Amino acid sequence: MPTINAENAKSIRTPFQVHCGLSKITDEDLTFVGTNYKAMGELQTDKDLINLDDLSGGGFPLDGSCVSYDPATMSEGIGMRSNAGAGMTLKVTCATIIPAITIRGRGIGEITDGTTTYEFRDGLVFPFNAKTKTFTITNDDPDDRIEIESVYPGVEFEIDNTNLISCVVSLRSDLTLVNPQWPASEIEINAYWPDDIITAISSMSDGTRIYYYSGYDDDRSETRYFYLSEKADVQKNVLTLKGQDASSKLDRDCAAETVYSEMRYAHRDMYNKMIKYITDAGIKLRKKESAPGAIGSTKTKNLLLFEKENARDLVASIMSLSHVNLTSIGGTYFWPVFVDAGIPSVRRTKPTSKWDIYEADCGDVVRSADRNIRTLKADDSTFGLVSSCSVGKKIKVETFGSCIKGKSTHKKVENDRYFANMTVTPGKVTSQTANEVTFIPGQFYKIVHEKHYRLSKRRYHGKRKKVAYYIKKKVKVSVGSVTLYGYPINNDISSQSKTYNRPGVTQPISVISHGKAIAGSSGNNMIVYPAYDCVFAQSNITGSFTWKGDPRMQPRDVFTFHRLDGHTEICTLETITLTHEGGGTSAAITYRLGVV
Amino acid sequence: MAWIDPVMDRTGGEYMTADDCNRITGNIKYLDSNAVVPSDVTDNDILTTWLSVVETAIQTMCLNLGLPGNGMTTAWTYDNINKIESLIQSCYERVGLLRKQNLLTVYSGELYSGQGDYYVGGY
Repeated sequence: MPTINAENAKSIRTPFQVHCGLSKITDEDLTFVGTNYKAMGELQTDKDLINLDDLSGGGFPLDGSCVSYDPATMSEGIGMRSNAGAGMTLKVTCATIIPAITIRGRGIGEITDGTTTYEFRDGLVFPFNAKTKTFTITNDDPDDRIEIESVYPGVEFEIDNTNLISCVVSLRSDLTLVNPQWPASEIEINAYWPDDIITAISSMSDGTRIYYYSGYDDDRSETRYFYLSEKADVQKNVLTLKGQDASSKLDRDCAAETVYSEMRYAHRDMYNKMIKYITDAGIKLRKKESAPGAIGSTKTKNLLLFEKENARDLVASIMSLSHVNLTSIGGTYFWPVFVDAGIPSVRRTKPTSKWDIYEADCGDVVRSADRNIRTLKADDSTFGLVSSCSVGKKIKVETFGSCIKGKSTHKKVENDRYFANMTVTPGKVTSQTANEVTFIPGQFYKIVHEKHYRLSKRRYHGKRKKVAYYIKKKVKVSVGSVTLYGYPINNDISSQSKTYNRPGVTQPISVISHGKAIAGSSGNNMIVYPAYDCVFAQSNITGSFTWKGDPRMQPRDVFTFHRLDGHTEICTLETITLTHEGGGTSAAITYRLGVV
Repeated sequence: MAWIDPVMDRTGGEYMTADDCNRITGNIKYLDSNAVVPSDVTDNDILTTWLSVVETAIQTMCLNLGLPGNGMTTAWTYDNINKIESLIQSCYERVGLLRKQNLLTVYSGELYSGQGDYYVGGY
C-alpha cells in the first residue's frame, strides 16, 4: 500500500484519493413498505450491506466473505434487494414534511416517484417535500439485483476522485509578529453531480458540516470538518460547496474578565483561559494537551484584566504573547497554540520539526525579510505595554432596586468600573465578569409598624378606653433592593512602549489587557503574559513556495526546510493551500523562520 | 437424477453458482434418494439454510456408509466446498463398491476366488 511519505519522495506519485462531501442528515424517523423485493431489513441504518450467499449475477465468491442469510436474526445490513433482473417499489413515510432523502445503494436502473426520474446510484439525493412518497425502481441488469443499502431523511453528498472536479483547502494561521488577523480556514469543493438537486440543497442552512480527508487507504489525513459558509449551488451539473472551519465562531465579544493567578499556576491559568475562550465560543476541541503542572509553590497572586474584546483577538493575543521558556524557573517551554483547520486542537508544548521539505522539490520559492522591530508601542493611550493591576479594599459598589427574590438577575456595573470577587446582599452571585454580575436575590425583609390596642390606665367616665400602640416588626417580602460589593481593580500604566536594543522600526501593537501573569517565585520569576520578548525573539524572515503537498500538514506545524545549498532551516508553517484538481494535488505554503 | 462428477480442485477465486449447488444436492440425491436436501435453486436465490442442510445430509450419508464425515465447516470457502464435494465423491465410490459386492454375493460352503477389488469369500 502506498504511503504519503514514500509517494512524496517519488518524482511522480500515485494520485491522492480525495474524499469530501456534506452531510445534513436529520433526525426524523422514516417508515418503509416494500413490494416485489427478495430480501428486506432495516433501511434507516449506518450499517453497510452484508455480503450474503447470493446466487444472482454469477454467484458469490468462495473466499469466506459471504454469510448465509437468516431472515429471523438479520435485519441491519440486509437493506432492500430486488429479485434478479427485476425492479421493486418502496414507499417511504415520515411524520413531517422533509425536503429530501438520501438513498445509498447499488445497481443499474432508474428510480422515479412518478414525476421525477433519476438514474439509480449510490448517494442519490431525491427531493421529497412531502410526508410520503412511493418510489419505483427499475432494473436494467437482467442477471443482477437492485440493492438499497439505506434511506435517510436529509441530504448527503459523497464526493471522491470519480466525480471531483476540484477541491481547494486553505488551512490558515497567522504568524504576523504583531496584531495577527488570523483568518478562518476554508474549503471549496466543485464536483460533478448528475442529478438536478437544486430544490434539495435549497433547504441546507449555513453551518451544515462539510468533511474532507485525502491520502491513501492506509495513510491519510485526519478528517477535517468545515461548515457551509455560502449556499450550496449547482450550475450545469457542477455542485459547489464552500465552507469555513469552526474558528469563525470566535467572532464574538467576550466580557471583561480577570485572571487572578497564583505564581505557581500562572502558565496553567493562561492556558485554561485560552481554552475557555475557545470552548465558550462553542468550538468542540478534538485534541487537547493537558494543562501544565505547578512551577514551585509560591501562592502569591497577580492580577490580569482582559478588557471586553473579540474572542478571536483574545486567543490570538495569548498565542502570540505567551510563548516563553520557563526552564530557568523550574518549568518547561510554554507554547500555547490553538489551530482549527478543521481539527480544532490546542497544545502548550513547544513543537519540534514534524516534516521534511526539500527546496529541490519546490517551485516559486520566495524568501523575504521584514524590518526588525526595535520598539513596540501601545496603540491606545489608556493601555500600558507594561502595566500593573491590583485589587483594592472591598467596597459597596452599588444598589439595585426592585429585585425579585429567587429570580436570576443580570446587572452591569455602572460606568464600566472593574471589580473582583463581587458578592451581593441578600443573595448569591452565580457568575461574574469584571464589570457584570449575575445573581439570585435572597429573602427581602421589610419593617412594618404593626398596630395593636390596649386598655388605657386612666378611666374616662369610669371606663377604660382602647388605646392604639405600634410594634416594629420584620416581615418577609419578595421584592427589594440588592447591594453589590466588590474589590475594585486598579490599574496603572508603567510604560507605553518596550524597546529591544537593536536597529529597527517602531511598531504599534494592540494591547487588550492590564497587569500581567507571572510564574515562579518572587525571587525567580518570569512574565508569562504579556511576554513581549517573544515578539522580539521571532524571526523577521518569511517565505513561500509551492510544493506537491501533504494533506496531513497543519498550520503551525514545524518543518525542516532543506535548502538547495545543503543547509537546513527550521520553519513554522503559516498557511497551506492544498489544491486537488485534474487528478493531481499541489500545495502553496507560507512560513516564518523558526518555531513560532 | 444423474450423477455429475464433483468439482474438487478449486484453488481460490471461484464463485459458488446455482449449478454448483444443484450438482451437490443432485449427487446426494443420486446416492441416497431419501436424503433430506434443499430443493434446486436458481440464480434468483439467496441461500439461507442450504449449507447446513447439505452438510447434515452428507454427515448422515457418511455415517451410514462407514466413512469419516468430519472436516466440514460452516464457511463459504473454496476449501469447504472442495471438502463437501470430496466427501460426496467418497460416498459415491463406497456406494459403487457396495453395489459391486452385492452383485458378487457368495454363500458359505461355496468355493470362490477372485482378484482386484473383489475379495475372496467362502471356506
